[in-house]
Amino acid sequence: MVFSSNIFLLFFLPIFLLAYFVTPERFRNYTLLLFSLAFYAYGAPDFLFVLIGSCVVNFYMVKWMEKTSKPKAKKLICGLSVVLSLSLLLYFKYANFLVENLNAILGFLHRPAVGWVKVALPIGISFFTFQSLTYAIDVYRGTTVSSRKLSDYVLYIMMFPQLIAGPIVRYNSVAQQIVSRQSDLEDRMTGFYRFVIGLAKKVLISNVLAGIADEAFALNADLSTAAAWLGMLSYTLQIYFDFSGYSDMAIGLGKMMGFRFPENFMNPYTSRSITEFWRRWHITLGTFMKEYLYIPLGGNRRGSGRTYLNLIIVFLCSGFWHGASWNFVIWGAYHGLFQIFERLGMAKVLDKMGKLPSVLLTFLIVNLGWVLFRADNLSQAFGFYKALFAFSSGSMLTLTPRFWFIFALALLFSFITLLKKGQALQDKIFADSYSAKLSWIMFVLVAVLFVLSVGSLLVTDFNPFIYFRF
Amino acid sequence: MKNRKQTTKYVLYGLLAILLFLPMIQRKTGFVETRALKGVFEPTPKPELTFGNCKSGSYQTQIEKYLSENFGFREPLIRFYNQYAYSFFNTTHCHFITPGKNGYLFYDQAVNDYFGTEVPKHFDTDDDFRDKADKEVELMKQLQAELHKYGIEFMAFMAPDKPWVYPEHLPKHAPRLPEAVNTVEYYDQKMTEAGIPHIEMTKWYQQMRDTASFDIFTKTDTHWRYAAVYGYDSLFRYMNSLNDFGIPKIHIGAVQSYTTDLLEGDEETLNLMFPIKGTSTKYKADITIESDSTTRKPRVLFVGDSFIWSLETFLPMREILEDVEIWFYNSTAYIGFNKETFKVKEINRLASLLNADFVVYYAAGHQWWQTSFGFLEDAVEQLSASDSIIRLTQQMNAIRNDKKWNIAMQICASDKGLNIDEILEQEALNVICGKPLLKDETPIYKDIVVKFETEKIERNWRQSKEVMDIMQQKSTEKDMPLDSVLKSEIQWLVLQEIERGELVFDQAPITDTAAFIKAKRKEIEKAWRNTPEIMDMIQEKALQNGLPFDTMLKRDIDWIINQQTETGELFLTN
Repeated sequence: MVFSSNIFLLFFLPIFLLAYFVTPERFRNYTLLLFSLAFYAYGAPDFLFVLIGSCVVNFYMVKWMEKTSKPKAKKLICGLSVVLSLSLLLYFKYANFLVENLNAILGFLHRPAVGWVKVALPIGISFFTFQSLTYAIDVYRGTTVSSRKLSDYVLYIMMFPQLIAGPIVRYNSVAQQIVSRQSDLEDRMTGFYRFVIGLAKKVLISNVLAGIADEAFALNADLSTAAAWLGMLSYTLQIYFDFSGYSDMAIGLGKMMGFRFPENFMNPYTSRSITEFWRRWHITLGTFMKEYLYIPLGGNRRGSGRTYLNLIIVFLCSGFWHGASWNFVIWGAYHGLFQIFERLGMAKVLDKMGKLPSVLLTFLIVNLGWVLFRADNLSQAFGFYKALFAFSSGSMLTLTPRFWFIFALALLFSFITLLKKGQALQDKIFADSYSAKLSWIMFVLVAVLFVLSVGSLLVTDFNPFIYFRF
Repeated sequence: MKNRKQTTKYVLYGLLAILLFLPMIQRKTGFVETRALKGVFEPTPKPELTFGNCKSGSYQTQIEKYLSENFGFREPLIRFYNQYAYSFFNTTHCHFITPGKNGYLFYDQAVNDYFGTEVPKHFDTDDDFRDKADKEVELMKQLQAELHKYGIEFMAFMAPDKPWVYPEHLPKHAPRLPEAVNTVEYYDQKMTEAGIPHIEMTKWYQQMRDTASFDIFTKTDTHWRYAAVYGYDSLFRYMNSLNDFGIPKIHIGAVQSYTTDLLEGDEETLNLMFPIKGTSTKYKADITIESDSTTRKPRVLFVGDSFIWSLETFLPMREILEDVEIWFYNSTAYIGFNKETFKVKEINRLASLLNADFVVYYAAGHQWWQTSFGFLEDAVEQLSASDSIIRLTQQMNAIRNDKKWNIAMQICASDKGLNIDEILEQEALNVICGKPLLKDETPIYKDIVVKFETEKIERNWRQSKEVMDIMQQKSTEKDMPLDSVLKSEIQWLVLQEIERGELVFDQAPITDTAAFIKAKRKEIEKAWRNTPEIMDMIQEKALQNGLPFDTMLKRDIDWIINQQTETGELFLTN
């Protein structure tokens, strides 16, 4: 089940909210847990018990680790917990990829291939693995104490708003909220508004851009250069409105219940450098990578050579985390290299260029990177790059007035905060509290967006044929 | 100030809750009547929850689809979104409709055809299209020659396409490439060269569009409507000119225009909230059919696309044609004026071809790239059958065209549980071999024929979702049970058929009504006595009323006969 589906919007969400708010406060976590289990079971019934099992094992391992006084034993148990979480991820997400590559090498060496039954990917595994890692490591580091109740821990891992696509919530940032939290009317309303804005970003903007991006990547090398650039830009905007929309929905849902999930996006396309881009794009992943990989590797404290190596390791891992494919690995390396270039002097050049040129150059670099991210394989990616720089005529895309309007709107929303007034407008919309007048304006806006989004999801399934008379 | 803000919060919170829960309340209670959605779509059945389908995820997919189609306010939500998409972006979510400028609607393939982009979608090169078209025209020639052997005429009819008549209302598009193939022109030229009788309507309509007192195409319909009357007039005149058949003449009176709030045609299928601004004018005219002793109504087989349907909408088909078959896209066969529906590949196609006086291949310009949907190859193959099969088929047609004989054969097929074609074939063989005929063993008295026809219509209707939807609607409107509505509608139709002489029967050998009732009473009594449940029921009623069993039985039989007589189910006179 995804948030942008009718079953979630028209059945699951209202029933959950009703059940949640009529439950006495001290039992609300159980209601939330029950619905979260149902949410996960609906999408991946086969993996529910794998997930619960891993939660139970991890919970008791961390408890054991916390009680142990010997530092070496603590370290060992923490290591075991990390290995357990990562091995699940490795098996479910990367085993197919590793076997495919191994077989490719064996084939090259004229050796028989390894027999293998493809493993299905449990939904949300990348996110809940990282969350279970933060729990074990934070308790090991002593930055937080372990959860008192198993149900609270399972809730932290499986809470449906952030289970499937994040944000990656560190345990110490929500530990207290799980035990005790408050949500007033204002929170519920602004949370719902945030949810609907996210929904509209996904359904009304991203889905429209997706049509053109898909068409462009399907035509690939046959595209005219202009169409290839337009297709690439469409994907750049699509992925932002899709992913940030989903994060908005998760944050909004959390807020309705009194949770304060961390922000995941902060106008990333207004970044003036790739370094800044990664401070604004998928912030919770960036924070995770920094806190749990980059710094433990030594960060920038061991000389520039080691820093560059650490950066490359972090971005290769980050790329690989996004998907088990060489495209993602190269995409990660691409971003890592630009981070190194910036440390080698590119940052100064960007700084001297002035605000707008540096934003545009960064945007261009990010755009070209998304080709690797979107392409199904490396040959498709190279075909697309060829179309981008061939300066040739070829197939055009099906560009409708709706596409142009949405495209312009997406560009506007992506860059609006470059202007002071734009930033002020965004702050007003995402405020924690509204004046009476603004409350009404927001309500009407949100109601229209909600109805349009649901309508859009409905018409996707309802395309009648005209020959009804016959 | 603080109080006002607090009140606003509560009000909005309440409204928010309403927004979220209203669809569920509407689903349960249906407290607001909503306008039904139009168009053809297959409803998703409610899936059954099993461990297996839940584990495989198929239940989730199905239930999601099912719930999406069954929640409160679905119709207005879809209409709201469609209105947004149409009003702001001039787009629709209806298959095949492309909105043009000024509220005009076009069929998307017709638009592509106009801009020269349809053929490249289906052929690698224009020459591939031309090769295929050449082969088709060659097949037409063969078919024409084969049909001529049996005195049947073949002709083609090219219905006009809206984009060619009203190009100024087309949506913005890259200009048509000068070298793009023009399918209609190409076929027109090739058919002329091959001597295939045909009519190309587009040019004619292009010429008359500025002088005609009516719109050739209405604004919101992708098909032709009133203007089709002139097209059919030309068609029938042309058919007549081929062999002086004597087809009745059509007289078209003065055109009257009118407007209506009712949405017509394809606009309805857009499922918008509001009608398209400046919805087009509709037209009608008094049409009379001139026929005398010299006129003869032909049997026509039309093979083609949806442009044919305006024939039954605007013209009294029964007054012009003796019989009609429409093979829609050479896939679904609508047989007779009541449109009995079959799959084309399942009917006796040779019999249909040989039974026609005219075979007309009929399609709008944009469909010509599809050539004949496989009809021509098949028809030529069918007609290459051996002489004995042809003779047998012709005899079957002779039986079919004899109304009484045909009805006898239908009843006989039904009694024997056989297909009508099997019985016809058997009877045709009986005729050819001089054996006793099945028709002589099959009485076709009025009550038998009416009962048979009633059951046949009911069976056909119950199989048709469209018909049952209409019946359901009537049943709601009249607040009557569905079965009663169905029964009375069928009775009305059967009476119409009798009045028009389409349903024929023999005089029953009963001259005495009293004797007939007596025989009927015996028949019912015999049937009831063989049914223990009915016997038990009558026994119970007899006890309740304090009557002897036989008296109760007699009373109930009388009641049934009276009912059947009143409702017309039982005809006491022949």
